[in-house]
Amino acid sequence: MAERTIRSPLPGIFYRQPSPDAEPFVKEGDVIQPGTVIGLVGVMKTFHQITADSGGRVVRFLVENEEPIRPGQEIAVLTDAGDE
Amino acid sequence: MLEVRNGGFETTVQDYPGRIGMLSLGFAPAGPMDDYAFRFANVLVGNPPGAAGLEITAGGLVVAFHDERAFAVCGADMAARLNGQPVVLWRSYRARPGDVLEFDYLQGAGFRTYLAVSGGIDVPPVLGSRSTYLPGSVGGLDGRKLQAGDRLPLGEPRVDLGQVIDRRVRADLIPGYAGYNEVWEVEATRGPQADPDYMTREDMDAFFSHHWKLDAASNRTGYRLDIYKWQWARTSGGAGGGHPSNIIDNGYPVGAVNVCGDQPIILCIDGPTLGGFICNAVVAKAAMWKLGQMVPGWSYIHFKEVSLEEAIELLARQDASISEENLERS
Amino acid sequence: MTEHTAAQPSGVILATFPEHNGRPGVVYRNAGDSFLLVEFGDMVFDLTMSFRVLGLDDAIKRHRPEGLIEVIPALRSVLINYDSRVLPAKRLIEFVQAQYEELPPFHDLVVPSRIVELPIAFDDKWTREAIARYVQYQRADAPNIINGTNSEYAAMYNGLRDKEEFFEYIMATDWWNAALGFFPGLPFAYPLDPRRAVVIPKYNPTRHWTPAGTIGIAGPCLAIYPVESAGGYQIFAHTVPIYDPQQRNPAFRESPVLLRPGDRLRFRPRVTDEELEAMIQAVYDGTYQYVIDETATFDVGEYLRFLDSVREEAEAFRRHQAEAATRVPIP
Repeated sequence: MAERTIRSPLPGIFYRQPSPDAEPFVKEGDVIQPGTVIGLVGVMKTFHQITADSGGRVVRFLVENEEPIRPGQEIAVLTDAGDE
Repeated sequence: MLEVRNGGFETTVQDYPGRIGMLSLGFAPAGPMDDYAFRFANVLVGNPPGAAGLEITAGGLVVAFHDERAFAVCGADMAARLNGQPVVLWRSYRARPGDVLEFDYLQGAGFRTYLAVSGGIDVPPVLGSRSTYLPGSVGGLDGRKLQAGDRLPLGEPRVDLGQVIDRRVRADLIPGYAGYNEVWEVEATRGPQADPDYMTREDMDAFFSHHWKLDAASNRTGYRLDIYKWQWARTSGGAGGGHPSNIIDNGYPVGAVNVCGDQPIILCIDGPTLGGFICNAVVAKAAMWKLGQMVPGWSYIHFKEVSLEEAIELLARQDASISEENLERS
Repeated sequence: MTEHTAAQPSGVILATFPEHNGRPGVVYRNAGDSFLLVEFGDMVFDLTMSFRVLGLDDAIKRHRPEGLIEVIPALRSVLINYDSRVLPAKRLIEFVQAQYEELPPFHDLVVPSRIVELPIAFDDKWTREAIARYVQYQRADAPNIINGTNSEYAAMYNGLRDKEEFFEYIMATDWWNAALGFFPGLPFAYPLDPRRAVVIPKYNPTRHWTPAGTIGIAGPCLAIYPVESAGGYQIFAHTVPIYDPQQRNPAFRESPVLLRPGDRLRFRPRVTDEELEAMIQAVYDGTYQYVIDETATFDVGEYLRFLDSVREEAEAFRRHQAEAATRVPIP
């Protein structure tokens, strides 16, 4: 089982969904492609997309919606899509 | 010429002191948020302290040199590398044609870093300054932040490269930055609308003792602090409006703490120039650089009251310290 | 916590000069190590204060001492940006006060005041678009929005027959630009004819988006949005650009900002959306000619006599308006 993490390059507030009433970008268990948006970081009144640099299955999020994050902080854990 | 391969999160051309004398037309001065690091970067490479350089916010910039130049990086640590070799902050280096300078994300305390190149960035001055003023889309490169593919013209260096490389800022003049969840002490004077006529003495005591959290939605226009229940010395703003924070519109000092309803907002160097809310304090000019290194969403501010005379003295000392005499051979 | 004595460490009020011979009092307030705020008279809305302020602004500029960087006029105050190491606050205060006291008697003031004519399209497509977005994304039940506009609300709030009469009021008075600020080139303009002085409350909550060129009013103040921005004024019309950072028209050759403090704005002619669109295009082509009387002056004495002559009508409108406003909900 090859687990890897997605990090945020920026400090700010982490958002799992595009707007308060919307569905999350991705959920635990989803299989995602490289470049898939998994959340936003809001800082300086702008929103920066956090994307996966490789594909895989989303195992879990390490950060809650609207939680403040630091630069380099791990946001989510992925595993290879075939692994269980 | 400096070639931008990746503009990073928000990188702009700035000079110091920016576009001054234009407040009455509605132009904030712009310029570097941390003018201390910015000016020292210029001095390291033999430029006048105010020469145009780059403000790199939160990292991600990649540039390639096309000429042989001296350069220096001062400010927050973004693990800068020249052709893969680590670049030490507050130090000058030689870059050769084809060299690539890369900035990663923030590595610790601080939020902005400054790149000075000998000769300075030679974009055309607009209204007397090369500073990028994003709200008005003027200055810098087409009034916007940098992006991949941009080519920045460079000016003629004033001195020989050999004289200005391998120098560093004296260690005791390199400031330490408060870390995440830590408190910055920021010197400020009382503002034009403080106690006793607008706020109570207790309001001002609270203002100067509270640890104010910097909101994540803070940028070069304004630094938003937490909501506070002020007592107020009046019940309404009279002809200025219904709320006691309202006044008949007046000019805003750069660096003023503008209290909008219950929320204090520090008006930064891209901020509004005129408006109808009180300003209960003004950040000392010599302390403005600290705002540039605070991390939105993480930093706390403690305003330390200083007198007008103390603020002027701080500024004189700061200006005197940013000098060739305070560099050493590295 | 710092110990305070009765005199504050920095002393907010640096000097006070009482009213003297009909000349309003002056208060000098500390505004940090690079700024000084100078306030005239009381915190009341009095447009004539602007004439004194701009007269003083002019006098300070003509006698500018070393270390004075800039004067930022507003309706009843000036903010001075200065280098406190070259020009100590005490000396700056003495200089400003001397200039103020040497101003000619108020009634004799004649200040430079250009007349700037701007074409206007009412309830135009840009304004409707901004209001439609507000309804869709921000607030659907705002009482200040009727039939997709703010102009019907503005008419009701001022006791006017309909929005057409409201538009006539906007065009029937010159607007005194007391100050520029907030955004580059944004005018804070007040009606010179008190018989046409409409007032309107602000948006609640404020709009996220307003297109550049939009005209709005809040309280008694008219603003033109120079750049796309958030905004809180009630919006009802559109005009040609007043700010062009690319300086594409001769009117912007010297400055990307069209207007100056002390300008009088006059809205004419009334145009359709299509006509205005062509004018905006012509501004950027460099072919549009702004109509500006560069040499006009404003005679304060003459204006005060005008105010006297219309005092009763103005008072009647103010009462009518106040009465109408009580029947209209606030946003």
